[in-house]
Amino acid sequence: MKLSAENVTKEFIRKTGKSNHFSAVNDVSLTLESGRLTVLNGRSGSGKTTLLNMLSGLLSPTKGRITLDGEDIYALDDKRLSRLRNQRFGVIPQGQTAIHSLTVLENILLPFSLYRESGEAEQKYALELAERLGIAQLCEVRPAELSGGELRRMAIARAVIRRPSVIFADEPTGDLDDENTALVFGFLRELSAQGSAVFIVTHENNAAGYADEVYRMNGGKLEISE
Amino acid sequence: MKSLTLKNLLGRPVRTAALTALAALLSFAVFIGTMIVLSLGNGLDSLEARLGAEVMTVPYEAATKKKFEDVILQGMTGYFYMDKSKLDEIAALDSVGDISAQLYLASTGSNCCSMPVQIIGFDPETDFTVTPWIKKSGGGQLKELDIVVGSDLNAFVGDKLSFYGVECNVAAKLDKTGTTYDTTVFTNIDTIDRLIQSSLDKGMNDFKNLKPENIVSCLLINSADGYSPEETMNDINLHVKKVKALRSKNMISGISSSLDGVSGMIRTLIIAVWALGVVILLLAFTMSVNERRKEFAVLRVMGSSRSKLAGMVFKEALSVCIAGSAVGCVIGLIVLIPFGGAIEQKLSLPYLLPGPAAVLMCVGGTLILAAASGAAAAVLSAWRMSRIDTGLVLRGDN
Amino acid sequence: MEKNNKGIIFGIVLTVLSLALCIGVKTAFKACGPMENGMYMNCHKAENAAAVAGAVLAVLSVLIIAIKNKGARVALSALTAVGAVVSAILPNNVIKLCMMDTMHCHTTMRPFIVVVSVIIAVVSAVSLIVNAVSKD
Repeated sequence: MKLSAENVTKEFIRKTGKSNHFSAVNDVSLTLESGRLTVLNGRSGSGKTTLLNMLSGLLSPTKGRITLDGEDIYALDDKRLSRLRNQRFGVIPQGQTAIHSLTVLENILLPFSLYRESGEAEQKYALELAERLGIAQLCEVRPAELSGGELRRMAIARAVIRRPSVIFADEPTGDLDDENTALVFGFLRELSAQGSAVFIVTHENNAAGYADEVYRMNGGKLEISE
Repeated sequence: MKSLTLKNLLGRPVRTAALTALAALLSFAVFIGTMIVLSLGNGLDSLEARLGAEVMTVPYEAATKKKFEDVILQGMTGYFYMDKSKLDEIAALDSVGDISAQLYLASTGSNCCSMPVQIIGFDPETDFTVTPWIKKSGGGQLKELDIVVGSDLNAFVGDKLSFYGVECNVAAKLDKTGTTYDTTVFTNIDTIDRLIQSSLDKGMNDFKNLKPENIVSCLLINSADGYSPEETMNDINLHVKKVKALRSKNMISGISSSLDGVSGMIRTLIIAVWALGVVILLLAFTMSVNERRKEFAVLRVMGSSRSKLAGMVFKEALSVCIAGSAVGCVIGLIVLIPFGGAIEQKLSLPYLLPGPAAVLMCVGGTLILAAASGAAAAVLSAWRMSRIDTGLVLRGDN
Repeated sequence: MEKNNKGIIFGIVLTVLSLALCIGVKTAFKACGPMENGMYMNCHKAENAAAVAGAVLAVLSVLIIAIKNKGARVALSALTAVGAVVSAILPNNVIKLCMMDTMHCHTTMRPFIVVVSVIIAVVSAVSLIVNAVSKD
């Protein structure tokens, strides 16, 4: 499995100010492969999240292509692209992203429930994941009662429940303590070892220790990091 | 897992209850308002049908002193008489087709009723207004001392009622008409002759020195072929002294315009309430969805298509509106049916609830209107959520 | 504990409804006024009977709140339901009302008694079921 960004550029139009256009991502090429963990560093506003969104099928590039096994994902219509995202990609977005009217278990099963595919086997796997991430005892609880670390672990379980080919993590350890940070990175490393391509956008310095490749985003341009 | 829509609604019970209550209130207003307008129209049609004849002729004083109108339209009790020779005189006119006499009497409180009751006697051989109506309500031929009671009288077939000491048998109970006839007792000429005689004997009649077999109160007339009701009325007023001929249509025209006024006011109120309600629903749904922008963004990230997101918003709005509308209609039925009498009294107009089919159609119409309003109120939010910029939304809160 | 709360909520709702019946039938939804000679008509008896029924139902409802025992609550709910049904059939069936359906006792008092009594009967039936199936 290969997910490639081929010379992608993303331009935005600023709503205020004299110079209207700016490039958040400028002529970037990158390939994510099965079994490899890639880390992307960079300052705030350098275009990291924009690149992640383009790779994960959430934002179409102004120029260039995003291909999955050679096929341009943005050539698909919204329905098929959304289905692809649901089945092949797992995204751990920035911040707290729980659906508050659902329990923890229901949140984890959401990728299946969206397409009414949640059955006994899926429930069983969800409970296993929750166990693995140390939140099994919270399955019937609502997100409002969880700590930041517990919510993040729930988001991880939700992102990986479908055993996706590619896992995207945007600042997955943003508001976690050292113990939880290590737990999260360790888990993501495990997933990559099991065959998923893992792509992490982070400020964390010690993330590099878990990575096969480390990149740096600087003013919209991608650089390989030492 | 229960549908996400249901979970979202149940997850915010106070907000969902408030929106449902708003939808219920709107639907209640529309349903009740519509049913009242329909019932008023039904009542007027019923009154016109019950009057039965194109022209009615009464003693001159009874018309000029509004006594006749008070009895027929205002539900008051009264009686007035003219010589029976007027019947022959009027029947001889060329413009007069069918003609039938009625005799009026009012009971006192006595042992039958806590209030005076209007009694109308008709001639079974010539009658063309009351007999078909009795037949329709399941009654047959009236024997001596048989009476037929209006639907609002608390008496049933087999009961015995006494008027001026004469015991009568309730032979039939008429269907509801929504008019003053619902509190009237009908009987044939022979029986009412006996009642009038008894009232005279007891000195309880306002008139003295009458022979019941020589008097009539009201003549019901249909015009002859080739003559209009207007011509027949003018003919009678011109050629017959001490009587007044009235067109039934003119009698009810006053009521008809009051009714139009009331109905028009109700319709305006319904539209105003509904329009305001849709605006409030629009604001409420927009706020509710906006608050959950992040959750919608997350659903998009999980693989929900734009149309699915829009569909979720619509489903929530429709669920709330239809559920609220159902509650509103149920409450409307609870108010309308048991308290129909009180509504009728307050309006003081002919008022007759339409049949079950019309009621069901009104319920159906209200539900459809509620669904359409919910959809309209959700359109803006649904469109916005389907266009959501996930990256911007998710980053925005961090 | 949650089930106990549910039992109490039913008791409160029933108390409010019963008091509404008792007070309502004596105020906004009362029978016809006295006749010219000062005497009351038969419908006044129905008004008094409904007020008494409402008061009795209120007492039963308060007991539902106060008594925690599951069996007792079930029995009280059943009694309340039966009492409400009796209250509903009182006007015009047990105690005759005025002659004309256009009078106040028919247009206002009777529908009020019937509607509120039926609601009390339904709520107490639900209370009976909820208490009966609760694990206590």
